[in-house]
Amino acid sequence: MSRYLMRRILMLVPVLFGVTFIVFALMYITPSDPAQMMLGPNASPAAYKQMRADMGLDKPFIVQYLQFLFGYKHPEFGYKGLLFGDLGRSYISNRNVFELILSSFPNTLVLAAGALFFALLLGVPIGIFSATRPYSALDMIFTVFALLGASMPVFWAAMVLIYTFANNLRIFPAMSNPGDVISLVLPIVTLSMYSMAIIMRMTRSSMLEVMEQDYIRTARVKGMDEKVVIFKHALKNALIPVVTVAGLQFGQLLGGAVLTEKIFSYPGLGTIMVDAIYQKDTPQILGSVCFVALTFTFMNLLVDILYGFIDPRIKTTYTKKKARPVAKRSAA
Amino acid sequence: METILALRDLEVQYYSNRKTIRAVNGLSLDMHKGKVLGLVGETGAGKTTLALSILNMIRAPQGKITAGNIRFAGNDVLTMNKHELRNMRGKDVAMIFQDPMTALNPVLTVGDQIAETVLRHEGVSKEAAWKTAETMLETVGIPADRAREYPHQFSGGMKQRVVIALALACNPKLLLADEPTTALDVTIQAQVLDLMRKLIKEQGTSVLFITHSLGLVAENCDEVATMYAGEIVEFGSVKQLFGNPLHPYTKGLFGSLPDLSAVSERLKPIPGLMPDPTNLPSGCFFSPRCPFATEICHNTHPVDIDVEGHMVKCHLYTKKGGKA
Ligand SMILES: Nc1ncnc2c1ncn2[C@@H]1O[C@H](COP(=O)(O)OP(=O)(O)OP(=O)(O)O)[C@@H](O)[C@H]1O
Ligand SMILES: [Mg+2]
Repeated sequence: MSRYLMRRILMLVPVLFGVTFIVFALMYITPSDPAQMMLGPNASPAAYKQMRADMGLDKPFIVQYLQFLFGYKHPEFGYKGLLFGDLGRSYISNRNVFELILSSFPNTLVLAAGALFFALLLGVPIGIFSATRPYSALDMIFTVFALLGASMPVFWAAMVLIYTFANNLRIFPAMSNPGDVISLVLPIVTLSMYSMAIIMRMTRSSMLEVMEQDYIRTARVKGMDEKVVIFKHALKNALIPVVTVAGLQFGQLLGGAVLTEKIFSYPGLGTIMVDAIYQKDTPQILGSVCFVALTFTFMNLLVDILYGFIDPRIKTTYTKKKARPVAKRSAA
Repeated sequence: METILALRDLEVQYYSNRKTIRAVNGLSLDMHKGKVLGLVGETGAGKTTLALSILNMIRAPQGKITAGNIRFAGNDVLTMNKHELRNMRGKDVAMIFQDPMTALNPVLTVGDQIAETVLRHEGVSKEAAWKTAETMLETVGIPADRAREYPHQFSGGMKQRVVIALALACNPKLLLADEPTTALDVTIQAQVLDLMRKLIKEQGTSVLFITHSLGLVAENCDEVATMYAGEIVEFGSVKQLFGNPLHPYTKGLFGSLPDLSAVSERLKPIPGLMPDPTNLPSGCFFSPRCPFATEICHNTHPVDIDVEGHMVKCHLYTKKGGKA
């Protein structure tokens, strides 16, 4: 592996510490009291004090943060710490926090991947089409759709879809679960709208910019067919920023399907997070938020790596090449 | 001399910000088979526009060829359909662009960029096209095994050689070389020119050699045309133009140095600016800057005058070819 990749991965370390610190600090200052949660409202002050000590909540903030990272020893409330993938058990379900997350994450992944796939499937071709006929009537129509897609609130879009396709037409169910492909259609469509709009616009503007480049003129002057000019010479260049946007969108879809999952009662990570927040289930919230943040960070890394496959200028930094005296000399 | 390209009364306009830029104005020019024609003129004279017009590459909505006629090897370029045009581009007429840094596609290997052109025009197999690409690279002094590399892995001079290999890969009959060496430093410039000269001689290609350098014209060209504000104001053999420049603009470019060996490398700056192409003066376009301008120059546009096979567009020569 190249130095570039190594550096990129090493850079994750401070980012991850920063992210977990922020998440932990935010949880710390929110007015929820896990000890009170465990005991219920009628506990005696002595029992309450004992509980805080048992849970390690009487320690200073920084010690608690270190416990959160490296583990906390206690026969009942102990856990191995975030670094070892263990934040103990949920106050509500009593299941291991990360077990619960990992069991629901594949469901979210299905939804996010479906939404991204759908967004790319329509967004990229429409973007290309618009760029080859800028300001035409169809381009204008797609522009309006993109504007709607990008500005429509998810809950509203979901409600309209449910009302139309579930209540009135009865084509798709209003409740969704991962085992039933038909039931996935509405949440995927809902979820993909924003991403599709962004990808469409990005593809369009990126294509328009690339089509103005000198190398496109070179391709035309060589007598290449317009199809080749667009799909071979322009698209590969134009997709580079689209990949970034798609990757970021995917990261967001993985962590941000909260509303959609809740509306369609879909058993994914988003639903778990919302439930955990309603129930003030501190370990579950901490675990979920950290997990989402990590996923997002890794997505960014993945996008960077993916870059290498379409942009040879970056690919060459991946694979160390032996020195080239010929090139060096004429470059000097 | 066989005429390979004939331009008649060509007019090209660009449109931007609701303004009409008159880049080429009633231009007529003949190119002869196997000859190298030097095209000189200040920046903005319309040299690149002229070259692109020959390929019918002025694209709406930026611009349009509004009048005139272009005949290449007897065929009317402006009435060709898309298919005929694409068959001509890159095969019969090839172009080398001003800037090698941006002329190559960054995400395709240089070998691919040459091979696809060969594949497009020559009806050969993929392997044969790739072989041709490698041979062309070697011809311009780049090892064949570098065909699988991308443009960013080459230096500026090497990129320009790739661009030349690309242009010459299908043995064009006419090569439009738009300042093919301006972006290079002097030593590499000489190398690249030697190479071009050699290839052109071998293939018998006719060349439109666009440049700012009179020295390069003297060394490389058979004929010269001086371009000013979208017109050819003087045309003749290198000997005629360098030995006896007629047009006051050409004289200005030469800095009134009649001695060929003492010709300066770059065009001499002439006081004043080229007229605004959105608002050309009446009469002769050069009259506002011309030290010899008289009343007729400011009012009437001059026509081409033949002075012993040496064409000039200037009122000074109207009366039986008298000298200024
Ligand atoms: N795409 C375009 N849109 C609008 N105006 C243009 C365009 N291309 C060229 N022009 C204008 O047309 C005129 C001629 O430009 P052209 O590039 O042909 O000049 P040139 O002689 O090649 O100059 P240089 O020596 O700098 O390359 C200039 O006034 C230029 O500003
Ligand atoms: Mg130019």
